[in-house]
Amino acid sequence: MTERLPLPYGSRIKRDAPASARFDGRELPAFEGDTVASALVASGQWVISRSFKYHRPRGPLTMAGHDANTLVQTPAAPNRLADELPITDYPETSAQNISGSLMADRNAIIDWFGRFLPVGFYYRAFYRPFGVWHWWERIIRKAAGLGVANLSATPRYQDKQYLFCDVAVVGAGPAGLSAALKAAGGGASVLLIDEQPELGGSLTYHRFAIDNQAV
Amino acid sequence: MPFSLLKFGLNKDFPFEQIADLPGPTDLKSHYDVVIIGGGGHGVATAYYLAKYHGITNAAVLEKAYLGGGNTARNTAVIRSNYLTSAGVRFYTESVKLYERLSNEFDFNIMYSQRGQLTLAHTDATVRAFRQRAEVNKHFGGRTELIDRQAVGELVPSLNLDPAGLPILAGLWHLDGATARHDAVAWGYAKGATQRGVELHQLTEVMGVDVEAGRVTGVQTNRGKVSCGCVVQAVSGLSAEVSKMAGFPLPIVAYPLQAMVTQPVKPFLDPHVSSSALHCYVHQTSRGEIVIGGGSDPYPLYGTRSTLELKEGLIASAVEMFPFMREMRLMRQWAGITDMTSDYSPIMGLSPVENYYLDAGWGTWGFKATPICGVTIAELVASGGKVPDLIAPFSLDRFDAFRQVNEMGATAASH
Amino acid sequence: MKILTCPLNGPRNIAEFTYGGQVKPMPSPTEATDEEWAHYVFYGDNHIGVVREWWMHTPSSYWFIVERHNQTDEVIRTYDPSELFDVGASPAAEPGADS
Repeated sequence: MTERLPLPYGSRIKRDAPASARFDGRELPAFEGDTVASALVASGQWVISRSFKYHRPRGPLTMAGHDANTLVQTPAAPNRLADELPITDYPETSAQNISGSLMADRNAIIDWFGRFLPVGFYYRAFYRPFGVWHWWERIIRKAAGLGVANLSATPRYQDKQYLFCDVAVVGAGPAGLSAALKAAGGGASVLLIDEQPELGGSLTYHRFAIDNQAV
Repeated sequence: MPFSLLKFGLNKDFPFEQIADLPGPTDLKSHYDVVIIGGGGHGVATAYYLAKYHGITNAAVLEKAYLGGGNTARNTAVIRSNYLTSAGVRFYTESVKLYERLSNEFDFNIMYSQRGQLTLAHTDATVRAFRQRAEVNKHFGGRTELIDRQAVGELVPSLNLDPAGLPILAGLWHLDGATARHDAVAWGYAKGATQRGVELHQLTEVMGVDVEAGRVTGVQTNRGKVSCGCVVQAVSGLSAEVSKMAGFPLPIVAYPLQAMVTQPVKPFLDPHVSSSALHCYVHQTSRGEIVIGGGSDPYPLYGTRSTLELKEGLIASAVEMFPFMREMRLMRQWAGITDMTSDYSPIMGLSPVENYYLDAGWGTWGFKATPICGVTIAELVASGGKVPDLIAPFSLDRFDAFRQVNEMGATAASH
Repeated sequence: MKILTCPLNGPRNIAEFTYGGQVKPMPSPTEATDEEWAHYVFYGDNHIGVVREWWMHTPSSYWFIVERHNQTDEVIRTYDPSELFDVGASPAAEPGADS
């Protein structure tokens, strides 16, 4: 676990509560509170996916679900962002669109042939003589696409509810929290909305300094 | 490995600039024999056929934004001919035939994928209409059959046969149904036209049309005035605004049409599937994305904004048809401006202004007709205004005479 | 979502309404020629600008008039039809209800 930051950082994980998980069929050490991505990175695995066309290695950029580099396969769904999946809810995940393994993706040979596959290469080939595209299309379709849809997944039906407020604040970071407090203090009914499991936004991860002292 | 790619990669100047398919911008000439207003699929297709098959190259396509950036970029790329009327089917079957060979025609891969199109019937009335459509289509050389519920289930095993309490009774199975890379259609036609001498002027907006003694003599653009022998108007959503410049109205109403696409997944759906009752259709591109489309917006707007209401409604319908799609992620939503006619058929041919030709009223059904529009409008121009038989039913004056070509049942959210 | 202010029911989600076409002067059905009638049926004011439209609040079946810009989608005014038409007693005959 050499990649883990020491206390007091990592307040979301419970270091006394290990969770069992597997990625690509292999044991993945983790704690409660980890996401799939944080557990992978903590164990030293920074490569989480391969790029769509050239199969170049990709890893987390934002660790907040704001980049496409952490797309993984779950049993029910394709294309889930590993940095948004709590490890306790998603103990089984795997890599997508690879042949062999994530670290040794045989499809990466396409990258070696990159000079023959420039941007838009498929517009300039695969259609002469007439009829040959039908054959090429089957190959290209299989190579394209990221995750695999689970055709047996059944949806949960959910109710919809309308809420009414004077002010809706989207984002509960320092700006949103201030705005919400100010509006509420002025007598408005306020709805504060954030995509993360806890409030605070950058307050939960930035390392601030006041008067050159780390806070 | 295709040889053109090998040659590209082995070129001693590699890596060099992108392959330039289109010539760079030039000044407008003072006169063209033909001015085409609108640089979308229809406009550049007309230019292509004029140049290649009629030897008419003193022509300019004037596009106010960028090549193919209007509805050509925004449609859901479905190609089919399973319409209802004889006039419609006769016309669209010709377009399908042209599409089948289009990549080789203009030497650019449009990734034409003929995987069939299945329309679902949830009521007895629809089954009867489908029977008629199958027969009309076959009469004009298309391949369409009415198939029963069991055959529908075998054709698309992942489909829910009882969506939203509306059991599927039958299906209209159109083997000719296909999809293509819609942008590539515009690029291929533009490449072919400009290589033969037609000029394409982007960021060139027509601001006025000069009409003298009932005949068009030129157009005013933001880059200067151009005189011309004749004009073709092919601007889809903004048809009424442009025809107003030439002094006459068009019986169209502009509605947005929205569409969406999911993130790409491995192939699981071969045909294009459309539900008449749920007003939703779904297909999977060669890249693995699922394209989802539906009906027009509920009120007119000259705008391309997309809405939460459509997103919710369309996803609800798509998930009824394919419940497992609930677990897929939506990637993008967009809209085009469609010039809708009351009979869901286009307005093609002559206008009240001499030498001013119309390719309008394409509403939500224009992409599939791109090649046949190019061919027929080019013929109309080259013959000096003799309307080809194939498009005669779509004349502007049909409305005054109540001679509509009613394709609403075969068009509305069926494509 | 977009809010439309119904003259009878107040501001509501626009999805609660049904668009009913343009407010167009109708020629006399018995005296108009076929061409005049065809023109009335098929042609309308379809240029970019402010248009006057019929809308209905679907759950209450209340018809009213909206003046809206058909490119910016800005709703200028909504009002009861009695401002334009002689309709007798009307549920929301309070002219000048603003959007």
